[in-house]
Amino acid sequence: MIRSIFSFLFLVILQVLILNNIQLGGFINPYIYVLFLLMLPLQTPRWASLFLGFALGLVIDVFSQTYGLHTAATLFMVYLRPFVLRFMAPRDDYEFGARPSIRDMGLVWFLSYAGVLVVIHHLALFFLEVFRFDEFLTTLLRAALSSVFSLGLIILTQFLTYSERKTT
Amino acid sequence: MRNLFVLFWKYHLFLLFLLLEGIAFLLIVQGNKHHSGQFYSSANAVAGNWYSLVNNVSEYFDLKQENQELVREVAELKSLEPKAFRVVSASEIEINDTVYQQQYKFLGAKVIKSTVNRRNNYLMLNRGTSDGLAPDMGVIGPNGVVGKVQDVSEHFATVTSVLHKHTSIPTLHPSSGFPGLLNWDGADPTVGILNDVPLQAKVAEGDTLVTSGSSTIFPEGVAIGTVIDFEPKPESNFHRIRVRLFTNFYTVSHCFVVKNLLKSEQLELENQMVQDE
Repeated sequence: MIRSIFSFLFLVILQVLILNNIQLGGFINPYIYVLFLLMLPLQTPRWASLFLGFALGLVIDVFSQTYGLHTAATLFMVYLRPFVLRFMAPRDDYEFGARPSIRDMGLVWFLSYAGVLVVIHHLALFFLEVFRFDEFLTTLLRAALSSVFSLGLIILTQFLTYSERKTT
Repeated sequence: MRNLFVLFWKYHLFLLFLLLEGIAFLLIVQGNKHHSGQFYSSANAVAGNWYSLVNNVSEYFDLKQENQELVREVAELKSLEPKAFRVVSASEIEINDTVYQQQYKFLGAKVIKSTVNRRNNYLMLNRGTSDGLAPDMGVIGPNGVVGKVQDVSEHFATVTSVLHKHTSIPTLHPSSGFPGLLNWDGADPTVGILNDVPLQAKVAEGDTLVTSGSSTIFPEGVAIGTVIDFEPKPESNFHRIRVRLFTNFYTVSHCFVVKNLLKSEQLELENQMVQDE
């Protein structure tokens, strides 16, 4: 619980203070804060994860002056998460107490799980931001490039923070 | 009735999702309509205080460049001082204040946050209602046009910059006299797009563009940028001109808010015209 609160705060601060100021070529803009929702335990009640997604999106919105954009995109992603999880369940279901992390589920599984959800989130975010389709290709390119970059950072964060627990 | 509850229970997660998503969309629509809801005004104050705290630290990184710019500006001001002028003939010049009525007032403000990486970009200023700011005032930088005030809290204001899909700035091409509208296409934060200049206007690369003064927001003749290149828009009689913006939105650090003292009078007259039609 305390660990979750800590990672919530850490990701918000990382996003708001550092990543919001990063842009590569005017196109790429990583959003790593969704990692918090990706890492929620498998047993988290779905209503609770919806509320958490709403709260996280709102906090990011307040600090980026984006008026509900992140809230909408994050909610959409969090709502779809259980479906993606069910679709990707191993043959004899998840082990009890497993977390959807590289450590518990392996790199390939995590890469496809996080990949699908990050792409969903970024597509929703970038298209809501533009709110029209006449810049379709530009928006698609922005979403795709940013997704790749976010995903890279998410994997990196996983290796940095979660490998420690293996030894303890 | 019981069936209704069963149905409701079956879909309660989806309904919760719809409810929360509805709230989020409400926020998006509110933000787009330039309404400053109670929530965002107070949230503005929270985020504003936070960013001025961050800015306190990060402004040290730009000190050198900042000093150079200040020196340049001081030099410019010094050259405007009465001491810098030689009186040509005192008897020939008579200044009568009743001839000139002040229409625009300028208020210096510091940019405490600026984004360039989104489709719709904002700046945040350290001035608010307590300094007399109100929504829809123009914002110009030392080099040129910056944007328009959107929301105001007591000590802070958000500004929609030129790099925003709703921004379109009435522009004048001075050497031909034709007006146009400056927009941003979301690609390069240093390049704006000027539309609606007819083909018979003689445009050349490097021409300077200024605000046209047909809006109530900017004074006439504020610099905007220079022409990079231009091409005829397919199947129309208009140019599509790419404009190198003078304001560098990556580094803009202080700016001036323009207060039009005659704005309400002008708008009132325009509204009457609309009603008459």
